[in-house]
Amino acid sequence: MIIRAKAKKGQNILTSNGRFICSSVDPQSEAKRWVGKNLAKLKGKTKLILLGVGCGYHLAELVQLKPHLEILAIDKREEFLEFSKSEHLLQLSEVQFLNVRSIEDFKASRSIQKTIVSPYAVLSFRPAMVEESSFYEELECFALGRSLEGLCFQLEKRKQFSFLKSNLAGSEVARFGSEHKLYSIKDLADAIPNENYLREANMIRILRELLV
Amino acid sequence: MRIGDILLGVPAIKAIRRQYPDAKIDLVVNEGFESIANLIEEIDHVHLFNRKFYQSTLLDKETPIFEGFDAVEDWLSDIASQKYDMVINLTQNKLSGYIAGLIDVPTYLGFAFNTRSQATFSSQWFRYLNDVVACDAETIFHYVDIFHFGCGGKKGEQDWRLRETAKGKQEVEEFFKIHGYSSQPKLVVQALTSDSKKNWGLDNWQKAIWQIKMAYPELNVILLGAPNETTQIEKLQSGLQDEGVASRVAILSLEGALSLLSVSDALLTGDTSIKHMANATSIKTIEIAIGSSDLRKTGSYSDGTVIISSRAKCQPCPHSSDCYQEEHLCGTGIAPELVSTVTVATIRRDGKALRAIAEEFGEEANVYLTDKKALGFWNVNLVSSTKSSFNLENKIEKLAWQFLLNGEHHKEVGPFGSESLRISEDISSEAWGKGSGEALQILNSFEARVQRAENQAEKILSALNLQMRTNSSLLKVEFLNDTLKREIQFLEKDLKLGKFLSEKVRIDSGTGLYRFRQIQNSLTDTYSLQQIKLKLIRRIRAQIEGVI
Repeated sequence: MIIRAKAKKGQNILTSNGRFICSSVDPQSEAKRWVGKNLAKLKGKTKLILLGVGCGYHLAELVQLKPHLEILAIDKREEFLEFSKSEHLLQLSEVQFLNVRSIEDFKASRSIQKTIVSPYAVLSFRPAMVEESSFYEELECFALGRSLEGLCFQLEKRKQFSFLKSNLAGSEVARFGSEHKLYSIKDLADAIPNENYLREANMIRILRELLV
Repeated sequence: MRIGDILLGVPAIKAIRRQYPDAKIDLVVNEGFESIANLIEEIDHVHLFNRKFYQSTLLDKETPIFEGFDAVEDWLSDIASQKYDMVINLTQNKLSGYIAGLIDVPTYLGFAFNTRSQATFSSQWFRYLNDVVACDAETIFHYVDIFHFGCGGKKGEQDWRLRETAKGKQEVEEFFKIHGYSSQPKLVVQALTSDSKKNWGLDNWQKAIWQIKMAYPELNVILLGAPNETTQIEKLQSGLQDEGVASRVAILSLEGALSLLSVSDALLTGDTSIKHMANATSIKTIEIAIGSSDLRKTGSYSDGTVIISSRAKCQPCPHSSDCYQEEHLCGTGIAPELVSTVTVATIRRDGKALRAIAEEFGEEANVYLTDKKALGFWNVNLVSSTKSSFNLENKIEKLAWQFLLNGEHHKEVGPFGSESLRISEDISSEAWGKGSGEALQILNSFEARVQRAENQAEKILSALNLQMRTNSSLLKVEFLNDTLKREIQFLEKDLKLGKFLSEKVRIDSGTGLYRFRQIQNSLTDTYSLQQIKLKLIRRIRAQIEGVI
């Protein structure tokens, strides 16, 4: 059950089933600290997938510091999205909100499909994820391309890598069968056939050499 | 490339500039090393390869998996937009080979993967770097010469000049303003290297410097270091002070270091980029080469440099692994007394004293003297006169390779005559010490061994050709029988060619014809090399005997 409340410093906040989804004392200070901690990850990026909208204070802080950042703000709860939009109407007018209840919803979004084929960052606001932590963990891995499913999704959307998708999926399911492995460039490099000379393949090999 | 690697390419860059005076020459280096370009006037622009950032994207599980890929793609696009005519690769690793191959240009020099991911070299010298140097052959060319010749440079034209900057001069002026010393004889000491295995140990440095000061009290000691080395350098200074030896600490930028070397008399150093920078000045260098330092490839290049190397069998060790010995054998094998006496003898230009010291310490260490003038490329002579066969055979071996790689052996006259004259004059000079009698003995013994090797190489080549002719299909993988393989290995070992031949035998990809050609080409080169050596030996002998 979602209930409106007041933080100690007077800001409007929400609780869900008795749990605060942002700071109950000063959500703005919490937001400032969170942005400060994550600012380095946004260097050089123009696009952000933000997981966990919650009460929206961290979003508002982010928009203030990075007004040109294209933000896709994702939450599982429609109510959190509505609250944030109304509470920070002016600041968040350029932010695109997405209600994502499953990995399938995420995959189906055109905005997501466009975002992941260019440089982007993924940030998570943990306080907003407190009730659905395993869902958000899975979503985060997927969004980063670090789960097998997420990686295959990325390969599908990056046309130049479509040749790798069947190599990877076939071989990894056979070899690992685990859902908990985090994928890396090394796995991609290992999946590239020796006789493949495509430019993209050699670029992956460059990255693989950097791991040596 | 690290700073030292970049500096090794300076003569090659200058050779390129001489060939293309109006070209724009841009350099690709790892981010963090761009300041070196200020010293190389031929460089117009520097592209930074942000290696650390790309690596961080690969190792950080919270970054999107394609972040590194997108970043590299952007960087390559930026380079492609410059529309270069040529890419020159002066490093020899897969990373640089892939990068070079992905920059689309009409001409490549050095290692590059082509569109079929096959390694290309575009020059016999760069192929030599891959096939011979990387296969651990014993007698090899210095990297500077390989790059220089590979880029079309001529013998004797290796140009090391670096640009001294106003910033560098100012740093040194301020240093002398504070510390004095400017008009007095100066010894610069670079005690620390970037690799702990190459470090001799501050205790040893302290002892050696103390002994140098006792023998040469008017010499002023300057301890050179980078900002991150300040604590250790000051520790060395403090230790010297306790022993009553004054010294000054100079923490300078690269530009400042070059200016300091330009006004100093001698440099005593480990294997560092500073020793390469010293090549651009007239400073006398004494190098201590231990650990992973391989003087054959990267020894200090200036003529008349003294290089001290231990005789520990494990040296040089691989860069990437830790020292596996219980104690640092290569370091302990070099006594402070050896270093101090060599340094004083070098500064005083006392060749006789240098030889006596080299002989005295000959059990534990080798003392080499570099010589570029004699052959037009870098070479070292063992100072100890008991090792004269090494010096002469080494020269002939390298000359033979140079003839082969430049195709000069096809010329009937000219190169053989002039080079053999040079060597025979060298033998007759005082530098040789023992005179022509011993030289003739060495030549005769060497000739016998080379003749045997030539016969063996010819025999193996004939057997290989016969084996191929009798094979019904060129696609058969095994056309080398065990006897042939063994003979190839023996020949390779006899000639100290490392794995030059056996690497080709080990190839297991490609068609039978491809594999055959690889082995045949290497054997043909080996055979030609012996023929060239024989020709040189006979010409030199004839010169000495006064026949020519």
